[in-house]
Amino acid sequence: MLIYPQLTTGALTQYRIVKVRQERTIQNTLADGSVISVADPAGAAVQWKLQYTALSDTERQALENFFTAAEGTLNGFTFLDPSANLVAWSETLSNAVWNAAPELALTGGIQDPKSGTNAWRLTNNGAGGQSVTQVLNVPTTYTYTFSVYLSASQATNVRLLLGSATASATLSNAWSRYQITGSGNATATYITLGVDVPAGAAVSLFGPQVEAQQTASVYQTSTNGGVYENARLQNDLLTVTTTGVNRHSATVNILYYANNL
Amino acid sequence: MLHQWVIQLSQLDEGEMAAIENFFLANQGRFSSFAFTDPWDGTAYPTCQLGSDSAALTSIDTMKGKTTLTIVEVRT
Repeated sequence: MLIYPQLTTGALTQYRIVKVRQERTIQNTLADGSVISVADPAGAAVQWKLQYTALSDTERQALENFFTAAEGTLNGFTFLDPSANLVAWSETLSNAVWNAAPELALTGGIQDPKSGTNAWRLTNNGAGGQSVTQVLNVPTTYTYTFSVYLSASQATNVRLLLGSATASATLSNAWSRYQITGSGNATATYITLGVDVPAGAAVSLFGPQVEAQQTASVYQTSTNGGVYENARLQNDLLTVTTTGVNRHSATVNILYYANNL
Repeated sequence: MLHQWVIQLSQLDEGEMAAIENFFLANQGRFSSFAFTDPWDGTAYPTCQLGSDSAALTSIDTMKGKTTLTIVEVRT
């Protein structure tokens, strides 16, 4: 499937970004004035308006090539929401999107660094390293940053996993945010992220986040994640304005339907 | 008498924007109801809904998000 292009900086887009969430509620007003409402999840949609300025010739060409390949509104593509945490269910490690190794016990409801109780305790009861991971169906050649808050009651070395990259972190009893930046295996079609806990160790984890950029931004709680397969351009026309030498501007509208039209 | 509030939010960071978006999704737009406390006088209204099935979130820059939500009190 086609993939929406990154800028040469590794960022997905530029500010300003307008994102519109659309839901559909069906209402029936009865003769007595009472109203019956029904939610219609299939009618949900997301729209993005991406405004680019000062694009280089290379970036303009990449955008035009993408528009040509998508044939305007005709073909679907994978779009990574530039304003979202790409990880799904970031505070629900018990959700099926997460894969915990068999000897790794997960306990929810732990005090987190944001004064809530949405952190998880990971206890490795095995004799070797055990990890909790999530697979993202995203382009592996893009630059990603995986960040997560971690702590442990005693000094513990854990490994952060992101595609083909790993990083070690030494945890203390105070919450700290750790991050790793990298890409995936060029021949793969997905990226795996996660944390590997050494044998016998117990660590607390909160706020896993992946973004397609060079560094982490403020943590965003996620449910559905930010990977949209089969998104579409909203227009059959791409207007690019050249404002100077090697300087171009454009606006791109993207649409995603929940029922994947 | 029923009430309506138009809440304009600006200077939001990415975490706050995500929280508002998740709230909108959890309520499925204007479908579900929730309790809302009037910021003017602290009165709690137990049955309110979002006023629209659409929510626009604008990121002007890093840590500079804005949005407008309408909340309406509904009959129980």
